[in-house]
Amino acid sequence: MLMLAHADGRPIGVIANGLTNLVSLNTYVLAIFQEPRAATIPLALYARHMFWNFPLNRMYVQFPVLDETQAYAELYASAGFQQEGLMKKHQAIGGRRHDVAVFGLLRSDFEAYWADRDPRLNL
Amino acid sequence: MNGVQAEISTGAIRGRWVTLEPVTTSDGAELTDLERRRQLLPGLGGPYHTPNLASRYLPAMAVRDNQNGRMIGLLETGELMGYPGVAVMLVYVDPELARPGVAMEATGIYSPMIFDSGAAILHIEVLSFNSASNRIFQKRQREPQARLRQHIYVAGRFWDLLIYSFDRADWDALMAKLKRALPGGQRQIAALGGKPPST
Repeated sequence: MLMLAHADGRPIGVIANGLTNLVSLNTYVLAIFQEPRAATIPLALYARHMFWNFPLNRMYVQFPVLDETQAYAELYASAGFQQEGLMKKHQAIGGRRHDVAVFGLLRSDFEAYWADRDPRLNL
Repeated sequence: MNGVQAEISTGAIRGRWVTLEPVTTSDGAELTDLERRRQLLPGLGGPYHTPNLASRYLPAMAVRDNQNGRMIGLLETGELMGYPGVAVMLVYVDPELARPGVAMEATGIYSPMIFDSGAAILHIEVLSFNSASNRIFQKRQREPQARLRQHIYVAGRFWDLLIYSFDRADWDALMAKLKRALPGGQRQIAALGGKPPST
């Protein structure tokens, strides 16, 4: 599912999922925003939509650890994702191999994380 | 070859206890039987597994018992989706048919060829309840690099998936420690415990 996020009538980013596993009930999610640090609520709304509409147990994302992706690490953490580790030297970019960060969000994580922060996101 | 005494002939690689050979269509019946047995083992993925017989790095190889020629395991490799240069290795040796240490010998023969075929990183996934496999790594100070929480549903519940990965130097260092327990190593295999199965 691909969703476009708008602010003041202008697109500010997109969020999509894929690689859905229908046995293990997980799906890969990817967010791309002009200002990742300001995209917590759009990402949380997307996650709520996924957990509300589908019997998912888990969403996850993996991305290379670079200066350019630091803002995304903060974005995913701000929406309730937990860092689950670093896969060493998994991504080849520009002739070098970089570590890949792994973040995951369980349904139970989402419910607990947002229960106090914004009850409107309750499932 | 990492302490393993092996001979290569006609595409097969013979070790002390087992011979590895590429899986062909003539192996169909044995492979089906092996898969039927494997699917009863949640630690090896349960029923939702399709053998990957051809891959970017190495073909799948049957593990045959040198005593009777029976196929007792399967080694597979593939490229981790989205990560060029990262090879995923799957090791299945039937615990009811193989003596302790056989999986390690087969892995010791097979894994160097993955790097020889161009992989930069060897990626291994182990379910959290598979204590035997996790112990092999953790006993030698290789901790999982990632724990994908509740990532796999098998045997009635969600389980964490542990990720281990190695570059060639680290893998060779690990295998150097393990080879002491392999045939031809410095220590008797009895150190791993257990006796050969009677079947």
